[in-house]
Amino acid sequence: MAQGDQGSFRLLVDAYWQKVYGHTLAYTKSLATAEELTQDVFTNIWINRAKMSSVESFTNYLFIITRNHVLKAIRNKLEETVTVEELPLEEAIWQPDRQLEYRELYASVLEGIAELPPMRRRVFTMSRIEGMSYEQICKELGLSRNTVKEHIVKALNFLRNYIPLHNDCLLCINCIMVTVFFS
Amino acid sequence: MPTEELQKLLDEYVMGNISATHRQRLRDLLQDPAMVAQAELILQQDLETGRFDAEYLAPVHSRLHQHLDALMKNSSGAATPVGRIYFLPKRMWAAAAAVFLLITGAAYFWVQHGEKKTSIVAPISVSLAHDILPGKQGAILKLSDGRQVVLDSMGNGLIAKQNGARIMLKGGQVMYDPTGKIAGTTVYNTMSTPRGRQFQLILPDGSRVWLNATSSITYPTGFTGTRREVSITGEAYFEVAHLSSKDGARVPFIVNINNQTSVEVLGTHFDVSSYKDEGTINTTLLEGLVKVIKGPEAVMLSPGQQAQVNNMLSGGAAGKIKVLKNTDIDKVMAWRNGLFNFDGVRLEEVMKQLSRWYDIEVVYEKGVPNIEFVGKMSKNVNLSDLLNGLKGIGVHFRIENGRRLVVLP
Repeated sequence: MAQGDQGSFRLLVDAYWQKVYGHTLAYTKSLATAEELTQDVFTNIWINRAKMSSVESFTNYLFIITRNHVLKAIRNKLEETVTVEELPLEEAIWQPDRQLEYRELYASVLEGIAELPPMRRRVFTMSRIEGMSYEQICKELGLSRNTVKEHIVKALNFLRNYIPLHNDCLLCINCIMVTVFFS
Repeated sequence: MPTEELQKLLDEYVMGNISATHRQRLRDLLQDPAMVAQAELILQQDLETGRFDAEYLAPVHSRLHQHLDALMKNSSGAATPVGRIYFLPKRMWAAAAAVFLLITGAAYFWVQHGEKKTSIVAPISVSLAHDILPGKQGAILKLSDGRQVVLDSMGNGLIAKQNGARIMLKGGQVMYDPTGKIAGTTVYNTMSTPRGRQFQLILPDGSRVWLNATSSITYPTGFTGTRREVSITGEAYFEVAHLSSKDGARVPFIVNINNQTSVEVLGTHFDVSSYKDEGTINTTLLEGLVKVIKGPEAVMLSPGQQAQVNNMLSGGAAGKIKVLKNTDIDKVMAWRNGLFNFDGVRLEEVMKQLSRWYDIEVVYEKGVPNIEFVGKMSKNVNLSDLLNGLKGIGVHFRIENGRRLVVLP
């Protein structure tokens, strides 16, 4: 790789991009930002490929670059706005056209949830639909906290990709429902 | 152990239901370099266990390769900037284009430095990701039970119900929709803007209020009785609706300012500026009629006039209310029109306004340079572009630690 072999670089990208993308999407919560950061990480590696010969473990090197980009993005996001604490979902008083958008979005979310693998679907449903705490879910299903975390994050990542594909509603990104899920 | 807390906060953050207070706590924790180092380890662990690995998504994969192929073709070791390939739903392109147009307007700056008059056109360029952005719409609404709702990124709809009103957010402003029934004691809400934010509000009687940065207004959720009373800090512009009681008498609207002075109106448009770091509390009348009251003293204002009361909070001595005729209304209202109007304003005052809008700290290395400005410019400009303009007219400065501006002699 240090010799500037493009083929090797492509193989590395293929081997690791899902790790980087999944990680960045989990923490930045935005499809565009996650893609941008993933591109940045690999761009960084290509530009500095001369350094690769002195690097012992490629994965370690990759992880360090990735976590630094992600942490910077997290801190920026924390600086911006604070999420809304509590939002009542009272459909009845919304304008009729917003009600329709809301219903369609909600339907998409439910469809997305239905496409999750069984255990993931259960964990996510318990958390977001039934409002159970993570401790309760761990206890009920006999799972570790990290496993529950993995299920929730992977479900969120999945829905972030699924919903825009199945729902044309741009404003819905700001929709109350989505912020409850994705804050 | 602090790391356990950090882990828990990061977990809540990544799982998408971190509370506002915890989010603030996480933000504060990450100011500490030791905590940042811990966070790096936690993130690294996530990567090592592969718990967040994404499943295969062909479009993302192919865009990534397109970007990198272009990079590899261009490079010969040197870092060449490569165009990004974005995934943006079609409609977002329209929004992005609109924003781009807004910030590529030109800003005009005329400065009178000593005896010379220089006129400068400061072209605005698209900024870097780490530039300091100008302020924007946003506020914090505090309900009577202490709950706080942040209004920056909410979609439209119902925010909350308070005694006698439904609080709606629509098109960037908050509206109190009276439901007619007010039970028991009056309930108060407070809307406040931090640095770098401004917002607008429609009170239960239909009166409109615009809040500038670092300001607040406290008001009842329903107006009953023979008076309408609110209190403010900072700066607000009012368009007060006429209101008559059942027997035909007009119901006055009273604005209480820092418990030092108050403004009484019947129906009118006026601006109150009462920042703690300013020497006077200024009430400027645009149309209608107001009475400015300070203790036993009261003064009636006609449109175009401004009443000035010494600001006790900034160390001013008590004194009479001063009335200025023929105020520069344009200057007073510039903030609401998205502009800075620095006509005849000295550097120190200019810096105060900039620090509120951009949320920066301004310090003077060796006294305040003797510079007076002439002219106006857009508020929706990134700080770096604005500072380039200042450099051009002879103000020297240095930026430290991200948000600290040191003005050099």
